[in-house]
Amino acid sequence: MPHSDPTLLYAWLIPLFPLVGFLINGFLSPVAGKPLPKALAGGLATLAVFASFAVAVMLFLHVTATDAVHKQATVFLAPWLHVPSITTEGVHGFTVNFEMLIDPLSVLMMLIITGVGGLIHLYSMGYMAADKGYQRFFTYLNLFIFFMLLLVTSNNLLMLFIGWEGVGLCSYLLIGFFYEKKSAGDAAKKAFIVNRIGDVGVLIGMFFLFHYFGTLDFITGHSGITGMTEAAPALVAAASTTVVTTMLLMIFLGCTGKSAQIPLYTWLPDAMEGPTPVSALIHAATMVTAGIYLLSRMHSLFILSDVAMVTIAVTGIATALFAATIGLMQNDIKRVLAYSTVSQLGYMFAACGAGVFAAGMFHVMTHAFFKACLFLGSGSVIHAVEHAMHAAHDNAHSSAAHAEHGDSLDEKSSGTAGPDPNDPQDMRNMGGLFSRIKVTAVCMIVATAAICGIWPFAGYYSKDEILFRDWQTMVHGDWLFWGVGFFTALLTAFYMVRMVMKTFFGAPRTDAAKNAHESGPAMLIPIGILAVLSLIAGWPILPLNFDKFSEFLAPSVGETAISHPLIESELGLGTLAAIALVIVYCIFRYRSTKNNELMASDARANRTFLSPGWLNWAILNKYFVDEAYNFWFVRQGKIFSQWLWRKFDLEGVDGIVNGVGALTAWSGQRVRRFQNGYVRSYAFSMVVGILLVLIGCLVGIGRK
Amino acid sequence: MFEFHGLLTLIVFLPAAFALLAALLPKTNVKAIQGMALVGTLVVLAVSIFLYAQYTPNSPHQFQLIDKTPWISSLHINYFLGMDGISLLMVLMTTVIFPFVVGVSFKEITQRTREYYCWVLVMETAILGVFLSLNLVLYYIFWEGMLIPMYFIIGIWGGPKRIYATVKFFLYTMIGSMVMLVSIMALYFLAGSTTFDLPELQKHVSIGGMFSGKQATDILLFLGFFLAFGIKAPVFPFHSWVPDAYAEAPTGGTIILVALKMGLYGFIRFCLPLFPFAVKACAPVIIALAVIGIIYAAFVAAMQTDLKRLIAYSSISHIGVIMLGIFALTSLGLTGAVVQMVSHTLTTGALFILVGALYARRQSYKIADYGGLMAVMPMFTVVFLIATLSSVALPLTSGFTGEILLLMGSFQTNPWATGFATTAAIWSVVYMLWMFQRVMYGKLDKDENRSLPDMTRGEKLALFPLVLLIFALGIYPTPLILDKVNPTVNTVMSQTAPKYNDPFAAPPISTPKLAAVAMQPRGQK
Repeated sequence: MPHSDPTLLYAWLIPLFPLVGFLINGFLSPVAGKPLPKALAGGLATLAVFASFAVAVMLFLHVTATDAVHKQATVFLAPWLHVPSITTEGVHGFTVNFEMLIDPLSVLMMLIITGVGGLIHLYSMGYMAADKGYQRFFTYLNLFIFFMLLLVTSNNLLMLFIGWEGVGLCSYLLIGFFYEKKSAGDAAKKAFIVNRIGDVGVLIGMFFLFHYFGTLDFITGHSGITGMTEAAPALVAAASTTVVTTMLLMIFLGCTGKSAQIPLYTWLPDAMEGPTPVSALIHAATMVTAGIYLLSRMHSLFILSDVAMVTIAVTGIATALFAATIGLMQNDIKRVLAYSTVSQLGYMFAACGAGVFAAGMFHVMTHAFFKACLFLGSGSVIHAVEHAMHAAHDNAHSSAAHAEHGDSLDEKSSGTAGPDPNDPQDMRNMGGLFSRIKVTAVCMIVATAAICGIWPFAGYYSKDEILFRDWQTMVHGDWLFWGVGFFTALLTAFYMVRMVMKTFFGAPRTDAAKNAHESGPAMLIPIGILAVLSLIAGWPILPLNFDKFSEFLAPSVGETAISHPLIESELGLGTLAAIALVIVYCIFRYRSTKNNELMASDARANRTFLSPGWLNWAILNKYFVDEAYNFWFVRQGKIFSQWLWRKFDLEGVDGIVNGVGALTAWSGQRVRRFQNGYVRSYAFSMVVGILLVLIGCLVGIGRK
Repeated sequence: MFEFHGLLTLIVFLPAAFALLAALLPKTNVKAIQGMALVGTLVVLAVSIFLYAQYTPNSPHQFQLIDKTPWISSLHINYFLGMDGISLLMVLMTTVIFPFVVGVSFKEITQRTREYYCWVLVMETAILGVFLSLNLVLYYIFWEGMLIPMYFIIGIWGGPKRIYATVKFFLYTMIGSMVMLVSIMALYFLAGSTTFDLPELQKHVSIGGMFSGKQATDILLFLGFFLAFGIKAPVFPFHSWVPDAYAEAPTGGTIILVALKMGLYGFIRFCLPLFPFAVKACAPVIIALAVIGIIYAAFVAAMQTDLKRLIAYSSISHIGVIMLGIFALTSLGLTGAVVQMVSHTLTTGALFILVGALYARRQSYKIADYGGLMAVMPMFTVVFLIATLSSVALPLTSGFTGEILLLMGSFQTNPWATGFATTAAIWSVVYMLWMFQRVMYGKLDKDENRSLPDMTRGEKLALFPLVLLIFALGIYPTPLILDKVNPTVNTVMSQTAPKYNDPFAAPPISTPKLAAVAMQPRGQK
């Protein structure tokens, strides 16, 4: 039973704190003339996010304490857009308010965003300490958190869209943080544009929804119009199946953009151009989960269309497999994680498509823990290697070192060439780091175990749940769906263990790797906390297990999925055994090869049909998707636009205009005796003449 | 018959009066002339803010603060000014932008300064007259009168190709206005040679059935107006004067051109109430032109190498969106269109001020001459980014407020066209962010750019208020403008919409069942 609850007005503090942090760091101090000192600027930004976390905890306690029928409450702040209807057209009035929706789902997202986000802020204080854009960085981070919080707390789709576009903007700013690098600028622009393609889908979906529901509110709020998630069942009677499917697929297109699914996933690996905490923020806690969140928020609509649900499930599982295969061959540590993120997001979509939104959200949460841990850990690794590199180059001045963060050469992505010895992100420059950066290594191994789905780490509970659900829903269809998910889980285990082996084990492959040293506590504490969460989230003996979780979410996502008994499930056991087998094989293989490469480089060059070299070549180049997009959309688009401008506009449209002008001038010359042939003087005297005659006559007549 | 509040007459002729005062100053005293022009535009702004406060949105009379007096009784020509919510916004927009027009010219205009500021002030009188006239003859005088100052502003103080640009602008506009004059005369005779007053003519159309049985005449007269307004707006394919005029005019002149929303305003003020049938009949074609214009101009914009031309083409694209909002014929779409007209003026005005500021530093509009400016001009970059984002309609900027209302409204009657128009959200990001990247991001690799100063005090003074307005309209539009403009929009729609017969009577997707379920009011309305 939704109700408006003014006593929850303090919930608005949650987005307010980061906004204030943003304004102080971003506007007040530059306008006052001097940016805040670094410690203060970073501290303020971090504090703002943790303050929001505290309020989110208060909300959580409130929501758990309220009785079952009042779990969903709205908090009205102010009107935003209001256009009343007029009766003659049959078009509704349009009202959008700044209104929050406080329910288990939004509270969960708030906790993840502010909790993990806060840790990432803390980590950034260490990671970015020597960067000249320190204040700018925290300004962006706070703004990001602000928009993300708007996104998850909104009670209507349009206010959600503020956050939706806002995080897109922030990712643009953060990915382009090292703006002097062309690759960073390109990646930032790409992220924005690709996201915009999805956003057009959301917009069109919104137009449809407004047409049918007369509102964009999720649940009934201050406007008094029945919210669309509540009125959803009536849609079936009012609109044809085609229309319902179209509008839902449009919204889903937006989700694929924001959550980096096929066909709009390409921006996310490029987003690695940003500093590492950004990758963590974008990937784990925030932006990419927005798509899953929106699906869950609107689940009562999505379940109306089987086509939409199947599309979601198939897109999800296909992306999971596709990205996982690319992840197998990447050499950049952050890119491995980026593709693994795309892949894990695919799992979440598969869960939503199978109708188990709670399982999807559970994976969102555990993924936030272990992926943030992995990204921050990789940042720590890069940090360590980079410092050693600069020290080795007698170039140890730390500010210079940090200005180079994330600097990398273009060839890296192609991967066929040997490693650039100055690239601190290339795993081929690492190896044997375990004994040198033990804390980071242990935390990352824990997180890796979690993402692989090893019992008893968090990923086991969430991913296994999704696989089990896929099995259940597909068991009387074909089990290809489950099979792909299962196979992808094996691939995940493979590439993650490969990453750990190449980074931490074997012999150090460069001097930098030999001389690496551990990062400071500001960076290690967040990594540690996230590692612990990656370990324990989901344990049945703790309150954070899946049964409790889905029971908590039930008022928002509608169903209570009871997890299968843990070890009794043969399916779970089988999966676990297979994953373990892959890992053992992987470790064995890597230990037995000299250079920690599974395949010799000459084998890769062998591209006869159906040879493994051929497949390798395709995967290594990421199936040429970027190249195809570039050719078909960017290059052809440019050619077409050039034609449109040079030929059509300048020669065509303008040509006619100039032709008419020339014709007039020509005929003017024929009667040159009376006139000077200049069109402009005719025209001008004509206008003056008309005006004079008009005014003159009129005044004259008026006098009569 | 005689009604005279005087306030509108005051605001229309105040700028001209200041032009006269400026003309009396000695030619050499540039400072005094500049001061006079600035004070003049600011005083006019103050008066228009007073108007804004005076306006009561929910009055039973559409037009308020009427100044009406017989002028030439034998021809039924009245001096007739009046204001409703839409013209209020237009007046406010014009008066807000003119102090900026004057301000940006301080440094740029160094020759014949006295003439320049006089023409600018006369221009303001003409624009305000166009927005406030309710008698077609009076309207036409202001409409044509506007051409003369613009002719001089581009022709004397413009860029290297200024003569070509002036002639093109002039001829184009004039062809349109000639045809419009014919239409105005025809309206007069059709109405029994009794009146040129818009409200009277409207009554002849709605109650008197002036066009009943004369549908061809109706459409012809409508096309007369359409050509004039369409050229001025500009609507594809009558847009080709725009890139030249925008690019060649001095910054002040370009901003005036951006603020010239009289084409779009004319559609709303005259076409919708006077030609409901013709509007409805021609709407599909006009909407097709609008959508083509949106996408076409966006593609061409992406290829531009000159900053001013890029923004000019982006303008054409945005105007297409506004056209869609107007001719979708829903009150939501029309409201959005009006908001977007204001937003476009503020946003594009800010962009041209910024580009003008770059020109002042480097004497170049070529994108290729810049790059990496963020390193030397951080604050400038932020403001540039904000204007860019409002141009691409990011939520919480004014551009979004206008565009979302507009598209939401137009989708209800034209789902396909709106679907295509919505893709502008992608194209605009492509050309704007690409431009932004090439100017601001990247390495600072040109020596001339290394020592460019960040924003000057004058630039801050010009741009911060605009940024503030952009956000104000984005975050808090309802009380600021929506409440003022809604009743008028509904009046205009009620003059147009009841004339609908079948094809437009119901939205293309039928809603009845759901509407019954979903629209149940709970508590408040």
